Amino acid sequence: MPILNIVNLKKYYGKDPQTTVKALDDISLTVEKGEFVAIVGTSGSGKSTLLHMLGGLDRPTEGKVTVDGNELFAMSDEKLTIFRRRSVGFVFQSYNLVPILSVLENITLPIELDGGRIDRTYLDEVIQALGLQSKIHSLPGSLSGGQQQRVAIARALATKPSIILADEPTGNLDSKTSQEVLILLKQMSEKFNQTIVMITHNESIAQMADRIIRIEDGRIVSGNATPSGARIL
Amino acid sequence: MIANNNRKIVTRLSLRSLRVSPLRNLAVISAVVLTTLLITSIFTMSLNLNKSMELTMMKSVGTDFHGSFKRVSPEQIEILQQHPSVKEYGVMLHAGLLRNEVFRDSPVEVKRIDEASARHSFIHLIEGGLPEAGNEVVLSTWVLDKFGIQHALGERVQLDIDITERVLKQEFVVSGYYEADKNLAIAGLAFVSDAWVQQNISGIDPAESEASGSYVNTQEMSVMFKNAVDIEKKLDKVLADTGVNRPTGVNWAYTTSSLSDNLIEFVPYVAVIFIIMLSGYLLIYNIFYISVVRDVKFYGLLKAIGTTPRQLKRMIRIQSQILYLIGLPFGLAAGYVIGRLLTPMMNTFSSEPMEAAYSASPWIFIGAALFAYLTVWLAAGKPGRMAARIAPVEAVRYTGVQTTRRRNKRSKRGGRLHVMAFTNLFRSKKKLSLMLTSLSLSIVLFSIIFTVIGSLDVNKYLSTFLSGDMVIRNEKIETHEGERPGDPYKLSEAFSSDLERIDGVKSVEKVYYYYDIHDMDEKIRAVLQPLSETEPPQPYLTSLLERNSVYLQLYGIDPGWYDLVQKDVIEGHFDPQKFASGDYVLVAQSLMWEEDTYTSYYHPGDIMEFKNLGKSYEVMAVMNYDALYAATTQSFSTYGFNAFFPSSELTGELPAETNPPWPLSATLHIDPDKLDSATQAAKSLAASSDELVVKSREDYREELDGFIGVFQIIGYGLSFVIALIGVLNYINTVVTGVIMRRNEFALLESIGMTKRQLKKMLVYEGIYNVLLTTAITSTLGVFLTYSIAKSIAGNTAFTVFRMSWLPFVLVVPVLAIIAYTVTLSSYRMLSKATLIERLRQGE
Repeated sequence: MPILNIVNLKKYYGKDPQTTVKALDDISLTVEKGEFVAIVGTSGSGKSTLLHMLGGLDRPTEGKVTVDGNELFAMSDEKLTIFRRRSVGFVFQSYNLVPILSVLENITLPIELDGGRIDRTYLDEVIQALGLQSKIHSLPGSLSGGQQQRVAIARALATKPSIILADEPTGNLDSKTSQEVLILLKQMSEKFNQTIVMITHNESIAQMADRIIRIEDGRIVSGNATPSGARIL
Repeated sequence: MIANNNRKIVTRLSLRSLRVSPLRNLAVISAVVLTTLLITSIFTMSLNLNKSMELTMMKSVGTDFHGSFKRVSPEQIEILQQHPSVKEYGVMLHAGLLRNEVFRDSPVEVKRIDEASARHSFIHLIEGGLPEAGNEVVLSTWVLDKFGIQHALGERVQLDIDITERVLKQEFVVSGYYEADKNLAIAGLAFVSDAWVQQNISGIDPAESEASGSYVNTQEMSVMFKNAVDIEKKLDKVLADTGVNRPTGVNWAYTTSSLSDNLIEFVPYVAVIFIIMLSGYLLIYNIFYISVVRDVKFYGLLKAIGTTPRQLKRMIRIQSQILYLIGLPFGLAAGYVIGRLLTPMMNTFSSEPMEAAYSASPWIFIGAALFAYLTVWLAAGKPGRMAARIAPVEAVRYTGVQTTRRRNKRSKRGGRLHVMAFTNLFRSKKKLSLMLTSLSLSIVLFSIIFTVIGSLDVNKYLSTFLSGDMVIRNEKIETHEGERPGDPYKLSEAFSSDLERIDGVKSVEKVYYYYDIHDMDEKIRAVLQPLSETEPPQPYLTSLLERNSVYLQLYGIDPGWYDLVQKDVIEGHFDPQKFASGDYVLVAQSLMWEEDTYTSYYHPGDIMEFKNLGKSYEVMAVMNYDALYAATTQSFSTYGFNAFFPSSELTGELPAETNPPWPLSATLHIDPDKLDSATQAAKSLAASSDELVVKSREDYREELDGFIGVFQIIGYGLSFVIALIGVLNYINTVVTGVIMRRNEFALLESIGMTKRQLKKMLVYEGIYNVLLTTAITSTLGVFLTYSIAKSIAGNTAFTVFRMSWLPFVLVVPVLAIIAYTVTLSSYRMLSKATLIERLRQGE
């Protein structure tokens, strides 16, 4: 069963037919567990909107999104938030971290919000893998852009979510740091068998993914809507 | 398990959020302190006032014991005091009356009391102790003064004690003395020892003396219960339980409630508390609202990561509660102190002089803390709900551009600075209306208070008490009941001529007084009979009808008073010459049982017969019930009325059985050049008698100054606080508005708007704000001020309504200055960072 199933997703803005903006115009897509998918498009193509839908951050005009068997938009606001907390990890382009919490606290935030127990061994592994051991008590303001993104990734991984959604994760970084972050992302995906959906406008970055899907004017224009063949093991 | 664990993270987020916003915290704490302070001081003052009134009443009663059992025997006392509900008791034995010459007019009772009774009767011995030997006595300083004896122990005094069957003359030694309160109830007591009682009156049978009405050797046992609730029931229960059957008495100082009876009196207090809470609410709400809007990205991020709406709401709630707890003790303490300090001033408001009593009831603090908490809870509630509802998308939205309904903007010159400024104003209608409301409210309240205070009129106040320059009154007459033997008429003809002869006194206008028990005629019956048939029956009215009489106060006025008559006339016409002829009477309206209801039994042209004057008079005019207030005793008899005659009618030939009228007052009109010397002379003349009270215009003016002073302090203080709250609110809105738009400003600057142009636009916005506020206050505001202030100031004895325009005129420049300085300084604060930094910050 695919871990992510999108069926006929539509997002229209505005009521007047002449001025309606069709941010998403009937998108259908599936993603298997463990895949690293890149969604590419120019600005205004609707890729950000799509990502927001997947994370339940926004509600569509029409259509269904099912994550790990859970239909997102059938849930109430409160239930959706809790679901998001447990099953979705976010890495945004910027402003990822809560400035008043330390690095460690940022990473464990979703778990603590849930009141759940922290798996220290797993967390240590993640922190090690991302090279953050020396920074865990620092405040986000004292970190560089790349370090901040790494913390964001650690947080996204902390709850062992069903999917990780990354919105232009390297958009604010220089080329060298971008490479580092991307490599880490891919490694995390393989090591922990995490499903990652990443959006970007940059072709070369997209190449790092297992599958590329292109979006234009709210529709998929190329790329497989379903996974073709197995991942490279 | 889950619930407990995620409490921790929410608390941590709340605490950390608090830590990073010190200015906002300070603002909220100040608002809490202010609100709490005001509420606490109001509570403190009203409880203190209540206590003061209670104390004063108890002093008139003479004791603070809850109730008493009258004329009980020693055996009965023994039984009664064992009852569990009797917490404390005291026994007083009535020994007799002092018949010494000096006490002709003011009876002094002789009693034997115990220590408990002394304590509860406000008897605090300055020196010495209760009498023990048979020749020892305790007297008040008033009594000592009457005898002309020094206030010292061991002084000898001859007392004539009337025990009904005879008068015992004996020399006593002063074993102790106490300060006589102004209140004669307590001053007029002398205490003898039990030894004396055993020697002289223990043989008298209490039952007989009770039957004869002398009450010598009867004892009264006064008791204290756990509290003052249902005293009568408690007394009856004690009697029922012990099987003793004796009359009881309830201390009416407890049953005649002071503040709680008159619910109408409550209304101003409730209104004031409501206004305070409203102002506090607006201020705190505004602060939190702006804080949430400012941190929308922060809350959006938390939401995206998985913080539930409930958790976000709790974050705001926790922060507000912590700030409340910090500010609370300061507000309570400061409020209590201020309330205590202001209490003596509030006491001067009341008509009778009151001693200040203080309450430290915990209810003051509990009540104030609760009201303040309610305010904070409500004020932070809405912003909390707002934060909860923030869409997680906000975290990732690039700019905070508000979606508006308008799609088009056709104007071509929207880029002009003042036009931009105007449009900016209406960006958030809600914020705008909130700020305008708060500001206008403050201004309106301020101007109402200002107007009322400005309406204080010295002359109006003075004319209530005084028509000339000085008045000498025989106050004793007003309180004395029954006959006055001898010649106590201190304001005699001889005295008056002495006054007239003082250099500078132009005239002495006297007022004579006669208390008339007047038979009812058909005209009076015509009004009262139907009244007595309404339900429920009014006992006083019924008894008057049975007795077929009403109580009138007749006043004989000298010609100098005639000028003041006209303004109080409501029916008919006053003709001074005809009046002086002596065939006419001026009749005032009667006070009815219901408050503020007045009726006149008579109308101009009616003929009234005054048996006690032996003559009939035609009613010339009907006047206000309190006409010529300054000339009257200032008390009014229900269903009775005042009637005014030329003084010659009262001092001339009267029927043989009629007692002569009493000279009530002499008002002196003095030549302004000789005012001081004449005043002095008159005062020393009057000093010879301790019954005459002399008050000059200056004396009243001084009283009034004190009075006005109180009013001003309270009024200006309150209005200052309210204005402060409004201004703080305004400043907060302006500053935060600038902070929130820093990205926008940075953007504008980066595309080429110079700093000066930006400043100009901001200043324009400020000016428009001020103009809008002025528009509201000068229309609705003026209307409200006029009507409310008029209804307050138009109705008191010392105010003449005068609309004060100053606040409205001041609004424009003051607000403009504030807007200008605050806008610019907050902008200057921001623009210290470079452009790129500020642009970056937006991301």
